Amino acid sequence: MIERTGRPTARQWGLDGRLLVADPRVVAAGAIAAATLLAVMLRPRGVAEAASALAGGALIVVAGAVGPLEAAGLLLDAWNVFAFFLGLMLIAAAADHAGVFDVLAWQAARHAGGSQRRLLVNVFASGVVLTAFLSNDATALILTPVVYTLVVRLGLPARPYAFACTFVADTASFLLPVSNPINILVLQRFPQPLGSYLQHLLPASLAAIAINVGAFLLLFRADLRRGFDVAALPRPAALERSPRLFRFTVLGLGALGGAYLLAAWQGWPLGTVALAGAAVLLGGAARWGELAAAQLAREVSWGLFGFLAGFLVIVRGVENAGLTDLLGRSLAALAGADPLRTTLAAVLAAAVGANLVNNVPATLIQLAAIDSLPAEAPRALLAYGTIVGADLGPNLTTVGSLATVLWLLILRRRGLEVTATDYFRVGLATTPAMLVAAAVALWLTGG
Amino acid sequence: MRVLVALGAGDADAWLARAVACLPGTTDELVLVHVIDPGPRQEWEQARGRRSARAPLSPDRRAALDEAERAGAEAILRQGAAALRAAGYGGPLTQQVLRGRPERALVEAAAALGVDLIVLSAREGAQRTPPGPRSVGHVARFVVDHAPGPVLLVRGS
Repeated sequence: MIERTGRPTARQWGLDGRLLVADPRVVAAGAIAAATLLAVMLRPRGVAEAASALAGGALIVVAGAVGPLEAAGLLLDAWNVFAFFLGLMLIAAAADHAGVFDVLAWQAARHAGGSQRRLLVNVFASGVVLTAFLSNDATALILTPVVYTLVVRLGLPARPYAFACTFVADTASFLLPVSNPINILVLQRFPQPLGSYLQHLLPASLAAIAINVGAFLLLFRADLRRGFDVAALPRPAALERSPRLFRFTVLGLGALGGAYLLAAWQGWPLGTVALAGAAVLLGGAARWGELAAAQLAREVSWGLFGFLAGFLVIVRGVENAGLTDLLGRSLAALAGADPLRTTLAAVLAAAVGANLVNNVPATLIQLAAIDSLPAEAPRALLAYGTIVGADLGPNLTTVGSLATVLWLLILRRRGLEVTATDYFRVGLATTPAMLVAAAVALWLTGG
Repeated sequence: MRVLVALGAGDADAWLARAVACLPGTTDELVLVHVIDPGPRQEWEQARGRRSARAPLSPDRRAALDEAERAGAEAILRQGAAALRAAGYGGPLTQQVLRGRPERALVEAAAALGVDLIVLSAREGAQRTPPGPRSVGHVARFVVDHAPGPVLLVRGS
């Protein structure tokens, strides 16, 4: 739980709803947040998102919306999330180095019996398992190129499989708390026991996955008719290179999966488990493999930490200024008293926010808005809805936020070759159904 | 006459057999062409940019991908050549791998190779073509519109 004592509230500043906009601190906090979101969206002069977020966070502190000590405390309190992100990336890199992804894709092809439809289902299944335990980015960033390489070598149309990997990374990312760092972010603020999490989100997750698989079999049916011969496929090089490392890593990942479940059940910090798992797997890589530290460092996206840190501070500034209370009231008005409506409101608000800019700031803002609601508000349901919307939402505009997609459309109008709109079309055709189905499942399981 | 036969990843052997049956009697040379379409790869590389933890694709992975693309294209052409022979074509046959947007690459190759006829599927991979304007896919439509010479569209069935 993020420590929130001692923060000035809108009320302590002697403000009420009417005067909010007139107070310079409130105006400053709102303007800095809006400018940062715009900078992340549009990336003027190619400025990295992390740099924009860090600059925004620093400005919030300078403007006095968050005290320096409060900002430091906020970031220290979020150590679990940072540790989890780092652990995840290192674990994914270690698993990739040991050939786990290659062998999984190879097995998916071998067990497809020469049928492309079965291959697509197997790719989905691999993606679900990887996402559940190694998180969405492992599937989207590592499994996709591996599967793409495999199907291209088989002479099969690549598009359905590449889409499947990219989509399932998000569709399966609320199966378990560890399936998406966003989940950790939400659970950090609204802790829930594992049993409750699974009771609410497992059926929603399975519903979304089923719709995803069914929709893809239908959408890509023309591409999937021809059979294929798996004999053309070479054995993954990792199995020859270092079979010991492969066995060790598979066993290590199995143990890690168990440790994640145990930790989530016991309420232990998942960041510690992820880092410990990464240490064990990297130990194996050092013993039997040849994973250089420089290569490993390249596999970690360092900018992510700055991005998250910046937005943690910015959103706290917006919260201190009382602006998230306004959002909370809007969310409460949208949610009404009916549980189904509440669920849909939380899911759709998070999905829209995730598509407007990015799901990290969208989630942080929505969490602050939920926290500002009166005690009798169905916080757990709203938190679960936020997880569903923020995890699944990015499938709508897979290639980027709405701004990116609009930008791509403008480029297309100028005659440049941009094929990314295909992702947008498939996203539009499948994501709304998945969002609604997941929301209804969430409502049915105890809204 | 010299005929370019475009073979997509989704086109079945049965389609090739049908295409052979449609060839004019004056055909004395076939160029079997497959285009590696970088589109899907660009799409997911673009989708990577959305990810919070995006690291660049490692050089090893990139090299493996390029190699797989070549091997896959060659396998498609090898299988296609065998199907052409099995369907009764006995004349000279060359194979060529191209890279680029399929519709443009085909039109450019037809001009560069000086072929007299382009043969391609009306809709790649479609066994039963839907009626109406969708019976011709975007690749075939572009080739019909821009080809330097005659074009023969062969349906899946």
